[in-house]
Amino acid sequence: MRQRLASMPPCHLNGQHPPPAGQSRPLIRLRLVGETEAVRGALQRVSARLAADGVGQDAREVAELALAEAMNNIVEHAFADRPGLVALDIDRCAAGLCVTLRDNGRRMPRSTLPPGTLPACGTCTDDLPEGGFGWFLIHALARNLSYRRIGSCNRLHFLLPEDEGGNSAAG
Amino acid sequence: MQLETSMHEDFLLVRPAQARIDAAAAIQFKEAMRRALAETGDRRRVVLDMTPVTFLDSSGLGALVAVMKLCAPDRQLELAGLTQPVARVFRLTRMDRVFTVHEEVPASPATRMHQHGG
Repeated sequence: MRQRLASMPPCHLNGQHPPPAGQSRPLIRLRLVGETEAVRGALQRVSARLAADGVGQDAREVAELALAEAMNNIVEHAFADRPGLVALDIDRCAAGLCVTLRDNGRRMPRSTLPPGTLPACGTCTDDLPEGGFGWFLIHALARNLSYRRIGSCNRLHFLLPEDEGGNSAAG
Repeated sequence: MQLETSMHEDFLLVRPAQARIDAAAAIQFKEAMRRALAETGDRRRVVLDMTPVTFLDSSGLGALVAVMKLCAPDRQLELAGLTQPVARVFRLTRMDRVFTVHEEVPASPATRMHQHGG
């Protein structure tokens, strides 16, 4: 089921995104329906835009993975029982890429960020986890993670550092 | 999800035709692997050629774990030729310690080729 942007509920998704603190410039403003195919398309557009803006390959790959996990989490959980819309804003600042994701779906459980723990691996093949890696990856790749429920809107914010090409997350 | 399979002397080689095993493709990938495994004999080793795959997310990783479970206990899933973005996911989640990962696809002449659509 698809919703047109014009029929979006009043949730600030169309409104001006507040600029992050410090010096930064807007790089990407995307609005997409909360479906996995739309997420895939958005990721490919983001990757191309980042490349055009001179963001290095490691940082682009890290951004694509972190954004995939964050947006697919919204599709899977915030929009588990109804369709919805996602607003993705990326600003380039001195420290890296400032990401803000907003959606008009269900709030996070207990209105807090899920922890970034790895799922237990068990002791045999049958016990291996088939899910639960998403938030672990977001916590591993992003800095300054924050989540707020504002009215009927979820707002997730994080920073993707650009200068960590040699570390374990980006390398 | 399209898969190409080829039978080698001591392993089955499976090669995805798509570059992304992501949330939009994970279920189709798992189903295509299930069909390929059912239709392609009894080689004990199943080597998945990951060289075409340039993007894997946590849903894709979960699908690979599911395929590993489909193979067990009679067959073993092995991965070969991880691209950098795929290797990063395995390293960060420490699943590189769970899967057998080869740097390169083993060289061995194919005895039979198949294509699996879906």
